[in-house]
Order: sequence, then structure tokens, then C-alpha cells
Amino acid sequence: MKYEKIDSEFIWKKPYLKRFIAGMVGYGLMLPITIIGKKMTVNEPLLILLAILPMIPFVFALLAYSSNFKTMDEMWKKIHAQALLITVMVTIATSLGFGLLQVVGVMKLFSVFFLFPFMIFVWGICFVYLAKRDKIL
Amino acid sequence: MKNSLKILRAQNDWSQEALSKKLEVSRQTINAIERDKYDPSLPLAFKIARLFEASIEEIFDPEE
Repeated sequence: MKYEKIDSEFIWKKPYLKRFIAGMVGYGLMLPITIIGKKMTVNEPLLILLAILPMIPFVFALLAYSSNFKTMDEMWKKIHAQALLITVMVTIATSLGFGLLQVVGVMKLFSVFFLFPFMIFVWGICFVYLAKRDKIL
Repeated sequence: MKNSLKILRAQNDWSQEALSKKLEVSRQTINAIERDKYDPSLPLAFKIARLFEASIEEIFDPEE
């Protein structure tokens, strides 16, 4: 099977990619601090601070993605935007369905923390599907 | 939208890669436009027209 070379510089500009990776690494490093901190302290204000700590580098990564999106090659931008739109629609439909099941009590409540990996997973599938459909991957 | 980008590119003996560099877009964008899978933005359409010294209407045909 022949794999085509992807013009990566048209998808991710280096400065934004560095900022995005730095943000995600920061998020990955701060997440254990939150989990360990939860076990070590009972001080509520400190717990709140520890809980939202990973959000700071994560928002930094999201801002890098947003800035990069503006400079992205237009074909790739279209695919990214389509994948994002489908992800939002799938998330709305899924959360509504689960929410209704929880309202009638046939489904247990679960953490909204899983929404983020779920959205990343859906976005990934959509992105690959759309890129394959348009024969650019 | 139908277009004559592939013909114009061939007339100039340019590869998709070469054309993409001239237009500062990815090769995938050129490929998608040539296969009528993607309609370029207006700035890119103007860039293409300027590069081939033609009008947008001469290159792009909105009639299916």
C-alpha cells in the first residue's frame, strides 16, 4: 500500500505545535498532582485549586490549537471544521440520550470528565473518515 | 464545481507539488480541487487566476 506524504507544515505551524505539545505535557504532568493531592488534603479551597490546576496548561493547548486553526491550509481547515461539527453533534446527541436515561433512573450518573476523551475519540474517527473520503490521507 | 486546473497545470508542465508551492497551499488542496472534491476559497481562486493569467470564470465553471 502506498502512503502519500502529508504536508504537515500546512496542518500544524511549528510554533503552535510546540505550544500545543507544551500545554498537553503540562496537563499530563499536573493530572497526577490533582489525583495525589485529592488523597493528601481535605482543605476544600486547596482541593478546588488542585482540581482545576490541569486546566491551565490544557487551556493553553486549546488556545494554541485555535491559533493554529486560523493559519491552517484551507483544505485541512475544512476537514478539521467538519470533524469538529460532527463531534459536537454526536456529543450533544449522546449526552442528551444519556441524560434522559439518567433522569428516568435507568442509568447511573457518571463523571463528565469522560466527555473530553470521548470527544477526542469521536473527532479522531471523523477526521480520519473525512480525510479518507476526500482521498487526502 | 468543474475546473480546468489540471489542464492548465499540465500546460505549464508543473507538478501538483510545484503548483502547491506557488499557491502556498498543500498538495492535497490542489489534488482535491483538480478532482472537483473541493471548491477553493475566493482568495485562492483569485490567486489561481492570477497565476495562470486568466479570469476565474475561465478556470472555474459553476455549471455541473
